Amino acid sequence: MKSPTAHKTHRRPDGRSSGGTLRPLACEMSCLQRADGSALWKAGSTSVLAAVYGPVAPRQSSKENSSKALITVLCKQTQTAGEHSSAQKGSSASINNEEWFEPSSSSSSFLVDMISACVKTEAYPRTVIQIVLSIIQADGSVLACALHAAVAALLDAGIMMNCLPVAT
Amino acid sequence: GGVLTMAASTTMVQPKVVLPGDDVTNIVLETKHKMKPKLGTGLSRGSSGDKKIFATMAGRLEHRRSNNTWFVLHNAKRYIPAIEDRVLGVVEDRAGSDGGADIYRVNIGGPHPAMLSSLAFEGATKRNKPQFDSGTLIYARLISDGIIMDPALSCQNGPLDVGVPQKDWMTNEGAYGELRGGTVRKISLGLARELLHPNCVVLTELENRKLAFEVCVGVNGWVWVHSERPEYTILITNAIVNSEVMTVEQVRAMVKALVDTVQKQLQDDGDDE
Repeated sequence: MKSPTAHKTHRRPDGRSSGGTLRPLACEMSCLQRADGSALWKAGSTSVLAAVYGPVAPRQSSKENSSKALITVLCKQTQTAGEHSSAQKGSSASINNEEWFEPSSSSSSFLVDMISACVKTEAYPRTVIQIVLSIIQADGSVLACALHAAVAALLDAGIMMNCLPVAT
Repeated sequence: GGVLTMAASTTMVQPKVVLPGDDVTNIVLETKHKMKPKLGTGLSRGSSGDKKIFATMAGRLEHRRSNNTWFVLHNAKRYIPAIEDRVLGVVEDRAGSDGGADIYRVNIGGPHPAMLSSLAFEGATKRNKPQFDSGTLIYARLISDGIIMDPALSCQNGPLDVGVPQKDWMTNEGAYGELRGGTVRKISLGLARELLHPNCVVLTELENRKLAFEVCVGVNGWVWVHSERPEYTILITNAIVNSEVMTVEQVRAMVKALVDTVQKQLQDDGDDE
């Protein structure tokens, strides 16, 4: 997994060539009853569950923006998320887990920036749109999967967007 | 869900599913119609002044032939207030007073609570105005949508209530006001719109079964059902909720099965006594 340019016949643990083939995608929407919008996005064995709450009034009215909606993203990883990661299978002794995804504030703020740019925030002034992401299984490309799950959940909630962001 | 649509009002073209960012300029502008096209929910003009029209929601692109309106049909749970919407609300608290009027804070299921003045009722004066406890259910219309301030409600007849008799608030016979008894259920906004359609199958079928009941549907996704027996109230609420994912025929069969089961059960219970 360390150097994809090593051999021409180099294959990834799941059999894909290093040429950049997509893993099978799956999406299930409206899976959560209480959320305004929800989606479960799977790319291969990576799966992320997104829930959207909003537009709602912020808990403290001082935090509201009078001209547009504020997007907040909460990203959490379940305890067993990395158990079936292909990064661990058949790999050499080095535990260089570049594939391992730890949700950090930088990934949350990246998602906030991406989604704020695409959602029509001026249509929902003085509100907050909260997106809660739960990484069910992490097996590479987790941030991209999280973004897609968030977008699918926003579509499910009927929140207006100017465009759809995509990630790989 | 179950709505009998008339051929003239449905779109004749192939159903088109759109996603946010899809360019629908050609479809909208090239359809021949004597009126200019109007853009409804889910459609927006391009920002840079070019004549591009694109979708902002995911759903089916629909066309209302009567006034050449285009919109994206979608379903959501969270209500966004709009002026002249008729909604159900629950009184939370008395938020203050404004001269002789009390201002009530009402939960309408939207991002912000709405304000209802106790003088915004037919025939209400400073000496003769309604008083509400927390938890009172109200049917009202929106007079401001809450973009700048919190949304405001009124229980007086408005510009869209032409022909509706104006009754004093005390009689409780007017179009708007307090709803007593019955039960409230939260439904999706799409189902609420279907229930308000004049050809709504589930309500027509329930009526055909000779059940005596009244319903009040708010476009904010709340429906109030009131009937002579609690068993019928539960039956009607369940029938309404079930009908969301059924075809017209399935709705008819479902209503028949529910009514027959409940009425047989009531008859058996009556025989036992």
